[in-house]
Amino acid sequence: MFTLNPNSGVPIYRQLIEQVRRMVSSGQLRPGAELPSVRELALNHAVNPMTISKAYSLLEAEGILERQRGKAMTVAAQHTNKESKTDRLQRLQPAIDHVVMAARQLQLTPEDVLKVLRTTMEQQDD
Amino acid sequence: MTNAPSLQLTNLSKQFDQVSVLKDLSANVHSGEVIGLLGLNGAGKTTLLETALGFSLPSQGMASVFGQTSTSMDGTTKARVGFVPQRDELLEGMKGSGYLKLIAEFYPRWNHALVQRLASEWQVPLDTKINKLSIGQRQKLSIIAALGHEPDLIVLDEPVASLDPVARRQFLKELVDIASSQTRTILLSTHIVSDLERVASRVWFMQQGKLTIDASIDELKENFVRVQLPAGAKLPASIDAQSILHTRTTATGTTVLLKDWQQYSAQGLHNALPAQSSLETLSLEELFLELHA
Repeated sequence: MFTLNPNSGVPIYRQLIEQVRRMVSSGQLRPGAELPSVRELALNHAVNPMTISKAYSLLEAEGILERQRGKAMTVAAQHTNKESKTDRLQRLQPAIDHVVMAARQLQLTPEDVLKVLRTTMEQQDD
Repeated sequence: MTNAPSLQLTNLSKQFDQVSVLKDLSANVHSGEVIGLLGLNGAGKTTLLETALGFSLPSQGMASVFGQTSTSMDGTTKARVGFVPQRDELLEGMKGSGYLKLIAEFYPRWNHALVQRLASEWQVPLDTKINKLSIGQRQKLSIIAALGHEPDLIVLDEPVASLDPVARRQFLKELVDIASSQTRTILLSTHIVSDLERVASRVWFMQQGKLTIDASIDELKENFVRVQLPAGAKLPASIDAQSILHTRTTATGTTVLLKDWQQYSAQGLHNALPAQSSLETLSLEELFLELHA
């Protein structure tokens, strides 16, 4: 369900938070959807359970997830509507910053990059 | 003393023949934590683990386990500790099954089902004499023998050095399972940094007998970054000299290892870096290499 890379420079809890946020804002995870338990996810990925519960707690504090006593963590109800376009674009910003940096190093112009971006996105839509 | 730390080190020092092996170490380990101990060969990891558990006397300072001085733990406290030494202390002429039976007799509580499950999952042939086992099988047996009494504090000195990747992953999952209890504590040393990165909640770096870093993995990843500057460019002046751990300059540019990045990032400093510079977060392994460079 999730892709966690413990050997990345990005802490595991941040990777998990980012993926849940994206899946919720795109509607892939719908309100009421259950998330795997902390123990299950920790065992599946062979990672420390505290890092998973830290991610869940932060997502709960953000209002994205909710916890019912004795039950699984679920996607909170108020996230029925997709996030606004501005908010979704905001989420893309770190990835864009990364591409921009690489493009500068490769001395590519914005036009060069936009062209490839458009082609790639159109290809993946097909 | 139920709320005493699982392990407490207070100004712990140790000398062998006037050579300082441990230098004034202080730290607390609480239940539920998984501590990974990292350091070069000879940094003092084994001495630290053995002194912490009272196998040898500290020269100065003290170590305590569940509130009792390590060198004078009573039987009840000893029974709450499990230790896997770097070199196994198995009894050569015995079979695995006989050895485990012998160990079980030392403890009031012994989980036979757990021991059977681990031996079967980890494929340890218990009917074979110990001196006929491979090094990896011996290591597994040694780990099983230390887990059978379900200790509250588990200390492992390079437990996975001889294990294949499949066995290592099985072992890690067992640690995750133990950590899920949130009440049991694990302290392990290893050179396989990528394993620690998965299971440790906190990391200790030992350098020449000193505990140079004691931080959560998340803090380490969020605070240490590598900045590549193009030739001739400089870091913003607002970066404190104390945050710069080291600098390497080549013809094409300068590489700087920075700490305290979270604080600088909050100040918006990533936007103040010179043009054409790049910022990288580090895996634990890269950080280890950088800190020992």
